[in-house]
Amino acid sequence: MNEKINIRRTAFLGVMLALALVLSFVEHHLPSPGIPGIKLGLANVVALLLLYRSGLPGALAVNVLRVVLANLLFGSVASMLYGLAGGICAVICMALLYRLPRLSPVGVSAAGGVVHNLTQLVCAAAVTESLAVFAYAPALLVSGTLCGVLTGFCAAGAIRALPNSRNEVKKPK
Amino acid sequence: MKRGDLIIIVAALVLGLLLLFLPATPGASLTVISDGGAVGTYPLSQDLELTVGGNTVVISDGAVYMKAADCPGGDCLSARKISRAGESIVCLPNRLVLRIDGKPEDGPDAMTGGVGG
Repeated sequence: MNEKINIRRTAFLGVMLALALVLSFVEHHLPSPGIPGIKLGLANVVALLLLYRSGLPGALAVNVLRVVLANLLFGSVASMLYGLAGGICAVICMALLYRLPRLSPVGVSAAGGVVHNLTQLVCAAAVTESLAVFAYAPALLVSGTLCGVLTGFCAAGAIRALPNSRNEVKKPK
Repeated sequence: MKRGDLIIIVAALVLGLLLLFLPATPGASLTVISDGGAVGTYPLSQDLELTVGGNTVVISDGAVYMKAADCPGGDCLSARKISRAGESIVCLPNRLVLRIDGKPEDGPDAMTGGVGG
């Protein structure tokens, strides 16, 4: 029985990883505004969905693998490190928030977007050994919030549509 | 959407906008920092074309922009021209920072204002 659940879970996480990779790919081809670090964060939809439907370990694993694979395919090692730092901190932040009764996926996602951008800003400051990059902080705060809200609405819809995988142990008829 | 969502969203936006509308001081000089060490400081009043590693930096009409770069992303090339104190262009792959500083005689804030934000 236990084995069966694990197979189900593995398959589910695998499909989610594939979906997240496709979203990363789509986002890679979207035009970027003048300020580095501003991006939609489409793959955050999958991270949120997994958080609500599979819990922190699944969400974290898929997000880390997604960042590594996406950057191997169409990024660079440098952007991979930024992506990992931002992605891990954002997922952990969202994991801390998502059980709060007063928050819906939209607010959780907005917080995740802000944390993602601020983490990358701190990384950039560490790499350049200069605080000059914090001039981008206002733009990144606002863009992180707005994009987080956007992906949060997408994720809220997906979470509503998808049955809870934890209770999915029922035998198929 | 719940009430907690709005609190998070509004708080983040207000913080961002507050930082954005901090009074901007006009810049006086460009400081080029490569690999964490200052390469040099150049007045904005003089037009200049400068090559640092694989990057070409241009000062023109009191504004600074990156004219050419050999980095793979090219984010620094698409960055806006900068001219106010605290503004910066960063080329992460080449670890190069272009930062505008205000006049030293602008008062004590000139020092902290240069950090930006």
